[in-house]
Amino acid sequence: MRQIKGIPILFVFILAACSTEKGQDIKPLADSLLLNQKSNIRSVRVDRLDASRFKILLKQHEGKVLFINAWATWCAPCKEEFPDLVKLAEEYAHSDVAVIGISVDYPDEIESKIIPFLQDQRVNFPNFVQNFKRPEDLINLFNEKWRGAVPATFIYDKKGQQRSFLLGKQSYEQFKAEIESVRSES
Amino acid sequence: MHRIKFFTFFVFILLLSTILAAQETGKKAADFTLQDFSGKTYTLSKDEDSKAIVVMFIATRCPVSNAYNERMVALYKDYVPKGVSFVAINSNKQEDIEEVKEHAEEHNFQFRVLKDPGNKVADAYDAQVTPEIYVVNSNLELLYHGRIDNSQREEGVDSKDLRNALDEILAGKTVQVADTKAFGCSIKRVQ
Repeated sequence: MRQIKGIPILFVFILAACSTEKGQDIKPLADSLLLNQKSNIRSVRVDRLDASRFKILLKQHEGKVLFINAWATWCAPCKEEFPDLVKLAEEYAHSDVAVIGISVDYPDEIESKIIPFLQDQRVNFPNFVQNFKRPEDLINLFNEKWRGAVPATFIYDKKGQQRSFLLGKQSYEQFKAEIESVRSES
Repeated sequence: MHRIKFFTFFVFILLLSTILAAQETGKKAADFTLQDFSGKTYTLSKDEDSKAIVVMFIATRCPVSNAYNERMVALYKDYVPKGVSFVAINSNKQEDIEEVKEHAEEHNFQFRVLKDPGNKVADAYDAQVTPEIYVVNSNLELLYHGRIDNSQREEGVDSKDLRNALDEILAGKTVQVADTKAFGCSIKRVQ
């Protein structure tokens, strides 16, 4: 039984070491945030998220509660709630809760819009940009009831099952209560 | 005895399926009366000479809705001569009538843009995002609901859902894809 359990983990590592179809390397999430000690400016990396990358992401976070927030640089309520995400990520660092952001901007806006915004926010959690051809592919992957409006938050339990879908801007207290609720059920 | 029971059951199933089918296909859109930014009143049910009426929930500040400004203008130009009418509704609480007027003028909207105070029409239609489209006939029967097409960026479009629906309506056909998923910014409602 222990051997069987080990297979999916090995599979994740094999996948993580491979390249995607578009030749983009999938690097460990820890690499997405590098603190440049000299300048004290965070060097932020934003990877592209498609369906296969999302599957890997869920696998990588098995055993953890995964808090995913969908946002955009043009979305005012997203910007307003972002500092609370930074606060949550700091609070849950090194715990069984992981915070991840997904920008619904376009991949060609990584350098011009997404990274400057994340640097400005002093982001401390990994972020991706959607890389789906059709909006419904992204929408249906997360929740069929979602219409793509942001901010939207999805919380997955430790088995990778979505347990919470929060549409619109939430308060820090609402986020925290929802995380703890999923955490206690897991 | 068994035969009678079976017959009663059969009739019951038939009736039930008829009722369910009627709910799905015979959906009636809510009538509404709203004012545009120049104070002119528009009532949906009085738009009775149109072959189809396109009701578009839009916004002034939403980048997704704004990405469709030119496409909405093109739809208007292409389909008004064919007997289709267009009306846009702004239900966002933070976008006032002056802003709606400036936005419409800036983007050369020739269709009416109505303000929906208190998002009452958005609530009646259960419209959630901008842009979100409802197409009705002169009997206010809902013929199409959903998106304009399948990509915010025009170069990515490979399914012109609203155009397809309008073409089918004008040809007297049943709309094949009558319900698509609208995507965009959430309508900012009053609390």
